[in-house]
Amino acid sequence: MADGRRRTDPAIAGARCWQGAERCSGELFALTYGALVRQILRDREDDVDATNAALERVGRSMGTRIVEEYLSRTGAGARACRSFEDACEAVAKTALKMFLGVDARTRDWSEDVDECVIEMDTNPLAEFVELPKRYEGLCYCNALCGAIRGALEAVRVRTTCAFESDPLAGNGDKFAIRIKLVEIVPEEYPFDD
Amino acid sequence: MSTTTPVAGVAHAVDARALGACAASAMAPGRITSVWVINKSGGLIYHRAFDAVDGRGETHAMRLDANATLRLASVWHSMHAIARKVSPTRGCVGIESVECDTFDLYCFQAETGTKIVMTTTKGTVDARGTLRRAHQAFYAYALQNPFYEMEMPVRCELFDAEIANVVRSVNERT
Repeated sequence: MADGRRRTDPAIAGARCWQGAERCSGELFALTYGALVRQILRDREDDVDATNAALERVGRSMGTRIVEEYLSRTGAGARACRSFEDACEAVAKTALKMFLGVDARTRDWSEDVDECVIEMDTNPLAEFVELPKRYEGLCYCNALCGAIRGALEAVRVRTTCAFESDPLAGNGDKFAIRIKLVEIVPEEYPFDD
Repeated sequence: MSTTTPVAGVAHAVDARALGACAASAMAPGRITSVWVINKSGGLIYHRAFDAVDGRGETHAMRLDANATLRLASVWHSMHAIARKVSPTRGCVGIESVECDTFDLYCFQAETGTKIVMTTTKGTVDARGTLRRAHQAFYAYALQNPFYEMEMPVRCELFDAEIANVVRSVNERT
């Protein structure tokens, strides 16, 4: 995009994309995700840690794919996601709204601007869910963390992502994801090696 | 006086015809002759050539064998990267178009590094809009296909059909 072009407010961009998007029923979505988690748990023989890792992987490969849709639909140009701050704002205000219809915001920025918390008002993945005692350590929505990580990695922002508060696990009353910058990967040139 | 007027008139008429021809070729709609998708490491993952008939009824077709297309895609990837590197100002997005005497080439690179390239015959074409539609087709029908493996050649029927749609909408406009 041209330098002079005024940037749209990320929240407005997100709402606009959400308006125009093709949607599926929230119940169907929640149940499908639930079935997926259940199946992964069964495949891993109720090993909670392995399931968390598997959900992360599923999310990551979704993230690396949907980022292309995000870039195209928002018309985000070459300067999108150049800084970690921009990237987090884009995830919280635009991407979560655009793909899940969730209102979210960033808070608790660290002093060096390399860490923040994305707080979500609602979480359609976790509708109708109650975790039994034996799955205490299960990070039910870990695919979401994976998706954020995968999407940011595709635009060369390497991060770590984990739930800071997860009402399903009984901590906090809102879903919040702590996201931490590892590095912004410099561009690779084919003639540099 | 009476001898110069017709001469001037003829000259004028010739000029007008030349101008008209120029204007016609400049304003004629450009036709897409090929669409390429190049992944972020310079590998060609999709290539399709189209026969396009221009305003004068001439058929344009790109005749390249598979190896040549692979090689060219990788060369284009490097050229694009070099352009970004030699840019005197920061934030260069690379080569967006190349104008040749017989065809034009347009390129769009998404922030993820995927490039969509198309070649057209000379003439007007909404390059940005068309490349954007091709990119939309790419994420909607290739990336969202669970059987499509990232960075691998695209063999998705729906993607093929959608690209054909985009090209048809450009090539059949008058």
